[in-house]
Amino acid sequence: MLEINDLSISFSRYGGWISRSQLRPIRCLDLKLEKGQIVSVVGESGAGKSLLAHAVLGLLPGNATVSGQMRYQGADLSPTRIRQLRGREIAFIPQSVGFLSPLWRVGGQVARAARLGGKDTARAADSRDRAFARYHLAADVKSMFPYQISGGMARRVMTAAATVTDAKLIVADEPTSGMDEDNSRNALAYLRELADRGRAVLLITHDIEAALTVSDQVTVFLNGVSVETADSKDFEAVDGLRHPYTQQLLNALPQRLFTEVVNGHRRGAGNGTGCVHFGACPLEKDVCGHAAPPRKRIGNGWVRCHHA
Amino acid sequence: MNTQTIARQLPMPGIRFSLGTRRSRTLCLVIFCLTIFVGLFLWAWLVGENGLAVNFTQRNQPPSWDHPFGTDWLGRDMLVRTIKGLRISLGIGMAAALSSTVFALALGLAAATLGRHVDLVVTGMIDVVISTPHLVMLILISFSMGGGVVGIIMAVALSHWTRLARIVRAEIMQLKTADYVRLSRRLGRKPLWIARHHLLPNLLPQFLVGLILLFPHAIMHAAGLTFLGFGLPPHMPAIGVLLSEAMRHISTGYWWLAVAPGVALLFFVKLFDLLGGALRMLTAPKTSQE
Amino acid sequence: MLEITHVSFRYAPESPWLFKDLDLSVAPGEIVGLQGPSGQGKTTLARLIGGYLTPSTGSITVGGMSLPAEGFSRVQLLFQHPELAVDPRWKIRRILTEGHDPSRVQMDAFDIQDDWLDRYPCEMSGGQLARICLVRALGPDVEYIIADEITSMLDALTQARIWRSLIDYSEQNRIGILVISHDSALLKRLCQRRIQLNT
Repeated sequence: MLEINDLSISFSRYGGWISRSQLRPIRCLDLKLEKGQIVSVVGESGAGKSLLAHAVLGLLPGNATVSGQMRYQGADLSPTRIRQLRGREIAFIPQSVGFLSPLWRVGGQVARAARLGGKDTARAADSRDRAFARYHLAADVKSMFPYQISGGMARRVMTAAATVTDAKLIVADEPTSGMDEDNSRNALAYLRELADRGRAVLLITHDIEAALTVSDQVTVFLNGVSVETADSKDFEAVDGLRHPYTQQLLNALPQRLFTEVVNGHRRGAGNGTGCVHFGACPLEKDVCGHAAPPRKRIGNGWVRCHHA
Repeated sequence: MNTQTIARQLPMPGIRFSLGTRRSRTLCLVIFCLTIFVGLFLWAWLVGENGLAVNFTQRNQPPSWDHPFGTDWLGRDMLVRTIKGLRISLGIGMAAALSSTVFALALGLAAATLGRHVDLVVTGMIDVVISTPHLVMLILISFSMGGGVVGIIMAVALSHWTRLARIVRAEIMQLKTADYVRLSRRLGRKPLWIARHHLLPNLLPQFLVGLILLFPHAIMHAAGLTFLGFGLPPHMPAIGVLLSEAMRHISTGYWWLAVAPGVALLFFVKLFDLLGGALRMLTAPKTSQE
Repeated sequence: MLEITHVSFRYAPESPWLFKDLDLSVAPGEIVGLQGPSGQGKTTLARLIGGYLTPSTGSITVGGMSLPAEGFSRVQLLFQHPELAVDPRWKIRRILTEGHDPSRVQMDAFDIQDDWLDRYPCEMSGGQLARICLVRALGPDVEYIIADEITSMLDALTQARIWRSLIDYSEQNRIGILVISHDSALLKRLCQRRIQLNT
């Protein structure tokens, strides 16, 4: 349903009054998402991953330059097309409560989302009620303001707002951030349920453990590049994975080895050539410093490593 | 493989400066405004007393190549009178705005940092000043100060500090609750140190913008006061004085006596407005990168 | 010994008690975990111990002496969101030296690189800022650290790295740490003792 190839997003940033520099938080991102699937993009916290969500939704700021291919249901996802599809076929579950307007009651905001998605007022109110019931939100929550509801409830309200339309593609940005285990489990379960009912979910998170519990495929994102994509079941054993960074990431989990074997410092994203993991990779050779590794298909996914 | 399906045109990053971005254009606007202001003051200073020579053979001339703004009933060139008048009006307005800011800064800081009682007193003062009709207050204060330049400056200063004081108070109250400010105290830093190194620098952008935007207001009111005759002696031809003198001649059809100074004043006031807006755009984090 | 004795807290007389008669202690060099569902007051407790709030009842003492109401505290709180805990207009060098002059050993232990010193917080990642806030807090007179979900926003590798360094530092310098987290696997790895905050 959604296919992204070689996506690159850069910003021009002003250092002093006049001098400008280029930042490239996303250098090369590949992604493939089918309906009924959850694909997660996992990486360090920072500006990079959320930009992917903003790019798909057409929410990038004016000083951004985007290149690469984004295709939705086979056709190019141009800015015009995004504007038509946004809110109707492509929905967004944002990270923070701040995305809800503080001045309106939440019930009204969700109903408005339904209306903007194309439903008439009566059907919108009905969808809103059903969505609230589905996410166990009591009827009186409809008339509350965002400041009156807890973090977990706000998360459910925003999920309701995204699903109250018949959106086929849902982009969820850090759906479990700051949550305890119970709420986290619930939030992920809602997303799994959405996928099981035929929608496609793009999940963006820094928490690989959470991603693995519900995703079909996980894409590992490092310093602007998607270094590996694999089925979730391949992550059970560390040798099921190809990229050294992914292996390090898994070994670092407290549930696994809680180790952090790092040989040195990874050079930042400013480095234009070579592999993004160069400088901290146990397998690195000279070629890794000069040439960016090509994408190699492995099983159901792919990997970007000279040693794969 | 790489297709530009979605791309926006941006100037090449290697070039240090171009007019392609909003930020560069805004910077140009700021430089333009500042040049005009400096130019005005220089011109007024350079012209000196020459242009104000009385010349009865040239009385009441409409605008022409010799006298772009025409001449008045004493044969004086209106362009020169307008330039000088502007210099005086702008000078008074800026002096008043600057005095206002000192007052606003002091009171705003006091309200935000010296406890609830001081805060109540200051907000009470703000409410009283804001609810008093502007003109009444201006006239009363300038009259009781004995008129003149000082009277006008004090009058405008004492009636215009409220908006800026509110901004200062609100900003500081918000900054005080920031995690990094409270943490600074827990690391052992003293309150005065925190005010100087954390609060003031973060306050500065909002403050500067508020200050610049105060100028048009102050200038217009100064012109208004001089128009009403509250203060400046007739040999200090501020714009307001020019306009009030022109009132006497409106019925005789010498339109340039009023229109020229009036439009000039509006132009400069608008310029300050643009300058303030430009600075706001440059300092707000969201818009400063466009 | 950091001792929290009979501490209760509520925001206002009309609000419900967040916790009542809580007792907690952390010995020098000990690592204690605090777990509990979100919204139950873990961060409020952290702020109380860090000296940002005053308990309604009870006392918080270090070595028998109460914590000062204002000014330097021997118990330093590390906030969950490091981006909010630094002045956005200050350079990293200034931020690091606000409390004390960090030693070379400390900078190396937490992997603070020299080319960061002239940058601004907006150019740093969450993990980098978390480490900077850590080093800033570890002054020579600081004896206890309250770590309020400091790595829950970070990826697993950065998390492991930060905690390894902090545990090592705590062992060498006998710094007591109260780790607040909802991640039970992490607490099991880090803590010698775990406490559940239940209301």
